[in-house]
Amino acid sequence: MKLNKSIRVISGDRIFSLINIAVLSLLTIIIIFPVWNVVVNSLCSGKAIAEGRSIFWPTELSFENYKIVLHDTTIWSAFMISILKTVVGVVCHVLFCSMVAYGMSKTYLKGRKLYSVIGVPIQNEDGTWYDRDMDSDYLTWIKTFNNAYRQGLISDDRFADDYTAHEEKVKSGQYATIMIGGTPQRSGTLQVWMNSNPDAAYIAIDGPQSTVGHAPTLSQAGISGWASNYISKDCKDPIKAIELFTYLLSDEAGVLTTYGVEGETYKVNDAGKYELLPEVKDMQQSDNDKFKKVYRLGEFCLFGHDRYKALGADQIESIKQMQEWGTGKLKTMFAIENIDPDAGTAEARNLSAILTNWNTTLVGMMRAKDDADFDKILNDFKKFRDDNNWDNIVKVRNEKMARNREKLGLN
Amino acid sequence: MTQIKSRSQERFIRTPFQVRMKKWFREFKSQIPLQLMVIPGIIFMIVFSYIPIYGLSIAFKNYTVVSRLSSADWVGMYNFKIILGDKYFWDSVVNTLGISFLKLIIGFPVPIILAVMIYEVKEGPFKRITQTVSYLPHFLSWIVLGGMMISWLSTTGIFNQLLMFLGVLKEGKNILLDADKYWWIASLSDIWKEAGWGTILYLATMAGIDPTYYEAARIDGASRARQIWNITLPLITPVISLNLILTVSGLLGSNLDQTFVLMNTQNQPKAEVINSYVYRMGLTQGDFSYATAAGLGVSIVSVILLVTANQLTKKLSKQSIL
Repeated sequence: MKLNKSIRVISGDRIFSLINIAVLSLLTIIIIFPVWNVVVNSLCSGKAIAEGRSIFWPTELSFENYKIVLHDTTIWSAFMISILKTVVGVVCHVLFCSMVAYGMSKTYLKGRKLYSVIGVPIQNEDGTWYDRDMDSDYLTWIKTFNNAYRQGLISDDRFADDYTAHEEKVKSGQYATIMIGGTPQRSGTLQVWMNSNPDAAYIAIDGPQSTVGHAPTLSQAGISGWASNYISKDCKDPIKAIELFTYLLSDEAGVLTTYGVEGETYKVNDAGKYELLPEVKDMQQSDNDKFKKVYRLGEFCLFGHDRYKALGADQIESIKQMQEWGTGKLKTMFAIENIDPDAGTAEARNLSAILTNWNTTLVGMMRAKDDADFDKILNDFKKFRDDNNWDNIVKVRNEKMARNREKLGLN
Repeated sequence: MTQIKSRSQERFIRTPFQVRMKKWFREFKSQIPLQLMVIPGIIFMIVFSYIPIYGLSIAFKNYTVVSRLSSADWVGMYNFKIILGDKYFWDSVVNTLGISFLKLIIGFPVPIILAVMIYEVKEGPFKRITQTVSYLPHFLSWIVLGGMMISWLSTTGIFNQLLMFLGVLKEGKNILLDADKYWWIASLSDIWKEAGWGTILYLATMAGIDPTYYEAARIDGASRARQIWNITLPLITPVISLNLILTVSGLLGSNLDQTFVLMNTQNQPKAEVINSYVYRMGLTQGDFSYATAAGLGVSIVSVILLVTANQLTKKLSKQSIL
């Protein structure tokens, strides 16, 4: 009896241990496997991943991805920045003026790239606000994209890419086609791809075109720039501050802050373009840190303007063709600038909700299962707008457009 | 601490002012090494915890980017009224609570079970490897992990690879675009990331359990399961209730990092949590007063939750942290 009991206890103990170790091993695998999968995928060619052949072990071993990363200077500078941030801590960056990142509100609006290439009107003939989202020409094109999606030409993953993933894929040339609103901030990633693949480059082409005969109207830099500068109420000499602002916005100051002093840092070449002197340019390319300390050119970005860049002789190779393609297609859109309701008002909150819903709607329409689904998504959005006092927002926009026209003498 | 104590003693003695000052300085002098240790901490608290409280007045003002905190107009409870009537704020509250409850119900017992299992393994390489591996995901930041998750959940990612490998699916689907699955993705990924790390506190407590309890239980013929149920679990109950109180008070807290990397246009209606909504209203829309009021409201509710949870556990198990 006694013997029997002790045997039972020991074997029960062993079974417990075995089950325990088995379950723990399983949990350990669940934790480590996804991380291992990332390592495997990083060692694979994109083709092998897309075909789903490398789950446990890299099938086509390739160090291409690592080469791209190591050659990417932006990663090293991002790495340096991380170190600097950790070491130095938070650096106080309040200068003499405060700046509102105004661009946020603009890039927020998805789908504005397509408006531009198919030239959706920006206002009604009587100068009132035009509902570009509901333009039939525009919606025809969204429906076309939906058709392409239904035929499997657009991968679902593209709708989940965040900006970092997007940049990575541009750098490694993984997109067949990209639709971008303009070249600013794009040259870096495009250049990385071009450098690592000299025979391949993204080029601008005549993509979607208006079905009702509108010419493309690419949006140009706005009249209010990308930063709003304020003069403090306690400023001792506001007139002097205004004078400084006026000077910084002038051509002379633009050239000074972008190219420096003629004869000392730049010269005007035969074609009338501004060119940095060889020794300055050498330093910019070979020892950028020293260049930043000695010349500090191009750093005064608060009043920066693309106009002075256009005067320069050097253009970045990867976007040269795109810039040439865009020539003559640019249109000013001053009338519809800064027409959104002021922050803190009920209209602004409603608009924010509507724009968020629009992002969901737009992608939803492109991913629609069939035409009925497409129409349902669109009608839901229209209803959503009405439920959020859309008319009041349109009213505010019309008022602000009238004010814009008056201010700029567009009447 | 010492400074406050000596002052309160003075108050009862009620000697003339100069005498008191003299005595105060004499005592202070004798405590200089101690004071030097305490003062930096107090200054740190005042500068980083108490002075910023002044900024909460934004919640009761109409504060814009061009106005100053001192000059902005008082608007009373206006911002709170707006929040109470804001449907999208309540949507974000529902999402926050949904994700938090999933995390609480599934995620709270997991580290306890994992810790007990690890505790039951004999010392050796298996135990060490298991522990190290389970801590690993904790050290990945959400930004890095989020990027990894986007690829895991993509049409060619690990989940679809496995499902296609097993023949369950013919064609990959992007799971992150499915709004109905988002709560599960958010809560399960968080549990996956933090379960191992969560065992540390429990394992440390278990290490302090007197081994003679187990010896006695074994002599009495208790099985391993019995030992866990009657010795290990009762002895770590104080730590469990402490953790529960803290978790409940954090129900309205949401993970901004996680939301930012995993949210996309399609899952947004289910993914927007209080933190991301307040961030969007406050920083990208420039509605500072609204965002501050929402943040303050959430903090107040969290304090109420903390106190309630504390009182409840105090009543039920005689354990409390306050």
